[in-house]
Amino acid sequence: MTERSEHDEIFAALERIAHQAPAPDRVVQGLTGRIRVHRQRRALLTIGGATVGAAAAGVPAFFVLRPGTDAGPGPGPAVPSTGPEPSPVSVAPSIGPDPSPAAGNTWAPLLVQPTWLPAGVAEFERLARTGGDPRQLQSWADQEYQNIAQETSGDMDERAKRLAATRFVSIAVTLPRTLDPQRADVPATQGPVSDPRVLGGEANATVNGQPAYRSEPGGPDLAELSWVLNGSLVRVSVSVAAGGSEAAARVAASVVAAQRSGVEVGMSFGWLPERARGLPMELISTVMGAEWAQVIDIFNNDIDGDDPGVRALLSSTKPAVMVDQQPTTVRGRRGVLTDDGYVTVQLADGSWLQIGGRASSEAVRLADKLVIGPPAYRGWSGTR
Amino acid sequence: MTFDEYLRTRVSALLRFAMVVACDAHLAEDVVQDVLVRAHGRWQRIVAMEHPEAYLKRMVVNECLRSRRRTRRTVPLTHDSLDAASPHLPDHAGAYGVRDDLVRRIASLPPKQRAVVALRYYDGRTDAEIAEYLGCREGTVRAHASRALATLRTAMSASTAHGRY
Repeated sequence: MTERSEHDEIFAALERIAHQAPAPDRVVQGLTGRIRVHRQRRALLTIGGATVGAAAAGVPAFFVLRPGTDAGPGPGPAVPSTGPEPSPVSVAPSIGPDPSPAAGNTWAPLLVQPTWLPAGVAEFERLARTGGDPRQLQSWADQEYQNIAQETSGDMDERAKRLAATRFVSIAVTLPRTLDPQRADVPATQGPVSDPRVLGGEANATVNGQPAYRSEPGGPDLAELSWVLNGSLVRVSVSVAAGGSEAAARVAASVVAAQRSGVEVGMSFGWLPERARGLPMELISTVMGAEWAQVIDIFNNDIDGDDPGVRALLSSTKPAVMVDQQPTTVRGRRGVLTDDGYVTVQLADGSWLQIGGRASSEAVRLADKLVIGPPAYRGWSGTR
Repeated sequence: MTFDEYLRTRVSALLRFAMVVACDAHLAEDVVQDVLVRAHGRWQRIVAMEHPEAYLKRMVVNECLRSRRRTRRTVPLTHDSLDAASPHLPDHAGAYGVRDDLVRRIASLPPKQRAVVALRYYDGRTDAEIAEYLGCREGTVRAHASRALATLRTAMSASTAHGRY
């Protein structure tokens, strides 16, 4: 057989396999739900994957905001009324400073905070970075959302449908690529804030006079509003149950600079492999009911943000662990080493540590050298 | 190109590519959805790249390999599923069985070997490009390709024996 015919034969066989690909329509339809589920993906990555159920987690009373406790847009800019109130009662989030982080812990600042939120939601998740590109995620939701988010089994599409009926708000901050002067491969650097490549689409709204892009990514159950604030792209997402686009407009208009609020995690690295040194760290803190999880991610490739160079997870529940594992001793305790380069061990206080990244050879050293600090501040959770 | 435009015009090609890499329709669907959900969150960055499509394919390959490592699941292709998928393909008696055998051998390759085969023969990538996709050296790519071809040539030799070429 010639090389050409060999090539053709393999290509024909691969084409034959490609013919079995699922229908695009079905995939795109399913995407709607998954984009929504993705909003709480980080919570699933941390608290989920463990055996946390709604019943086990409990339903703390402070998660359920009593109606009538607060109202009005707070100290943020005035918001023009564009229709009926998105929900019967709004809340004015507290934007006071957090306590100073404890020694031995790692902390990163939030960049912005809302001064108005729709009623019935409580904060359950914070993400921020130490250095590097600005990046933030802050999420609020009702109890039902958090219950569903903690489910570890069941059909993803079915969960997405139930999630669509819950109240959910998030504020994300990223650096628009087109505004990053260090990225020479992107045209129109320092472009106008109305640039569709910055906003994600043609400006069709305003936030405090700034051009904004209003959209419904993945379907009508979630409204988003994106605009540029101090060089960063801010995106507010609000579920229809929480008021949709009208509530998104009010939340967006209420956004102000954060006042020394941030994300604190109860650990810090005592050693890092060379490839991870000096890189920004992304901190995540999630609290749902009685369960909590804290993460430090160090990315080796900024754009492929799901491939951390090093990740440390500290949580109240056992994290998901690969099936293929071998016992190892870490921090003087019996743990397991998995071939995805992570070591998992239960600490003396009952919490769990999972740490590693690329190679299992460095995972044990990362774990042994990790400094476990005092319990990190989580007083923001369950509040406005 | 907006994210919606991409979905309308290019998602089919990405699915076919994922199917070739995964050899599992359910996994291909999961992987493409996962990749698109992640891509949606940073679409502006991806679309600003010189070759956004290549980047998405790299995400697909990596996600396929990661998923395989996590689940260790393999769903072998069956005659029935092959027939259902391509009833319009011409069949030349013995050649059908040979092609089927080749497909099955591709499906049974270790994931990295199959990824190399998919990238080289379906996507037309060079060894250097494949090495970048997989985060390994070119020599490793060639080693994977060599082992994969040794497996596949058994089936292709049968094809020759059937006088198809």
